[in-house]
Order: sequence, then C-alpha cells, then structure tokens
Amino acid sequence: MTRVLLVEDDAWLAALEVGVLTHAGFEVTHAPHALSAIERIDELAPDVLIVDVLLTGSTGLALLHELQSYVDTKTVPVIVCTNLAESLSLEDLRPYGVRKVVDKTVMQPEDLTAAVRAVLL
Amino acid sequence: MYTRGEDGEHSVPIVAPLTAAAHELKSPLALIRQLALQLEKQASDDSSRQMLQQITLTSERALRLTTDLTKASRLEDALFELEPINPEQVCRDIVHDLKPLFTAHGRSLSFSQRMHPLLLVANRDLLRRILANFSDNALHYTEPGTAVHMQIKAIKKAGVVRIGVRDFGPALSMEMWRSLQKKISNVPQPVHARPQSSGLGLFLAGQFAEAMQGTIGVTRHRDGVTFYVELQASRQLSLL
Repeated sequence: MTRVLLVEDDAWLAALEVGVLTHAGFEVTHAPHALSAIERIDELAPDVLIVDVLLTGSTGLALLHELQSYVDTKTVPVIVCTNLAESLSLEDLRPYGVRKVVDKTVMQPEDLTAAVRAVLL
Repeated sequence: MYTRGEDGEHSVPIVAPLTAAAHELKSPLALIRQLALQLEKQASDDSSRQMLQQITLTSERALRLTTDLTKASRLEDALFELEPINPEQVCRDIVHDLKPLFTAHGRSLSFSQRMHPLLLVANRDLLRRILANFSDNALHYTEPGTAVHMQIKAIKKAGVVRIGVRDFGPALSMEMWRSLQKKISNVPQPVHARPQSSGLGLFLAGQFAEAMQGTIGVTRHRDGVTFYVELQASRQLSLL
C-alpha cells in the first residue's frame, strides 16, 4: 500500500485530507509540523510527501531543504499543497523534490488523490 | 494604499497588515470550501446540496477577493508582463468560471463574440481579475432572472479597447452617480460602487488597470450600469 506523509498544521483540513486519501486506498500519516515530520520520516519511509508551505514553526520549504540533505529522503516525491500556489513556480521548487503544486484555494478534494497517483507514475 | 491623517498629510502604510490579513483569511476560507465540497458529495437531498453549493461558491468569491488583495500589494514590486491578448478568450474563461455562481443566484452571464477579434495590450491574469471583479459586482446588484453581459469594443480615436460588463440592476440616483464619477477619477481612493458596497473589488480593479496603463470607468443606463476597463489597443490590430 502506498504510504503518504501529510504535513499540514490545520487539524481540520488535515482530517479531511486524511479521510479522502485513506478512502482512495492510501496509508496516510499526519504530521502537524515540520519537526514532527522529521522525527517520523525514517520510521514511516513514505512513498510520497504532501507538504503545506506555511506551517507552525519551520516552513514547509525549510523542511524540504532539510530532507534534500539526506540520501534516503531526497528522492521522495513531494506534492506542495498550499494557499500560496499563485506565488510559487514548480520550476523553482523542483530542486526541493517537488513534483506537483496543488492550489488549496481552487482544488477539488479528489485533486490530492490524483496528484499522489500522478507523482507515483 | 494609505490611511490619511487628520491634517491630510500624514499617512500610515496599511498594505502590510492588509496583505497579512488576506493571507490569514485564505486558510479558513479554503477550509470552509473543502468541507462544503466534501459534504456536497454526501448530501442526500436537493435543498442541502443547494445550500452547500452556495457555501462553496461564496467562499470561492471571498477567496478571489483575498487573492486580489495580496496581488494588489505586490503591484509595485512585481513585474507584470504585458502582451497582446485577445480579450474574447479572457471573457470566455470568466463566463465559464462564474457561470455556476450566476446560475446559483438565478442570473445569467454572457458575452458577445465579435466578428473581427480585437487585440489589446494587457497582463492576462490582471485583466481576468478586473473582469471577475466587475462580474462579482454586477451579480450583487442585479435582480434574479436578469442577465449580465460582457461586451468588447474598439475606441479607435483613443487607440484603446474597452471591455464592459453591463448589468441590469437598479438605476443610480444622480447624487450617487456624481459621487461614483468623482471617486473613479480620484483613484487610488476607494471606489464605492453603490450603497452597501465597500467598493474594495472596484478599487483593486482600478489598481490592476493602472498597472497596465489602463483605466476603469462606469457608464450609467436607465436600468443599470456598465463598468468598463480601457486598455491600449495592440498594434497587431492593424495586421488583422
């Protein structure tokens, strides 16, 4: 089963996204902030990371920067799911392992599922 | 954007708090929209489905405004590429995007296709935001069952292309009309469209037009108004 690590600091939105992804057949673990994601990533060995940018504490980009410095985490495909999508360019984010940017302000619930499937292809 | 002091000279920049507020508002609005979308899938009766759709559409409208606010605050720092654009495609996109909102309110949104397309010089995103603002504004002030119509025309003498959004709402009083004209000519003061409106959307539309060396304006009709944006016609026009 595909393992997804969702890094999202809004608990209600995270619960909604976990529900949608679990219903689609993924094994989802939620980390509410960057530190929690770092602590759990070795144990979880996720196939895909979904990361919000503006997190409580360190930002999602700081987290991705950190993950790029480890051999085993730098290859995990990343989906950025954010309200700041209009200010971000996928090309600029590619060096952080980002394969897709999902705009929270216009996405449909199933868009996240589609994004996970797309980056696993 | 500034607040004016009592002496009319001292002012305090309010862009940063406004932008921060807009960003802060995005998260709860996006969450409300996601929750409504999810519930809509599970709704078992038409009435619940309709209410959830209204929540979704209303949150999308509010999200558009918050995005416009953040964009407006970056107008001075960012470079917005201007290019020759066929505004028909932009109008078509707006009609496509806003049709569900208009239908949910019992109104229609359409635009007239020209036989010979006109090109203007604009930034596609900013132009789309201006027209979406005009359309949102028109939606608020029209009666159910009425139409809102987009029209594109060339004003050859001035070398500009005008895109108007015509609504069929209540006529403006002469007093309101004068006030509106004065405010439009005094951008960047907020443009108060009609009673009960802060005019924020129109103010932002004015800022976006200015960033493209264009202007916004309003024409009064007996049964409504046309809000329009005028932008420089593309020289490629002569090639058509």
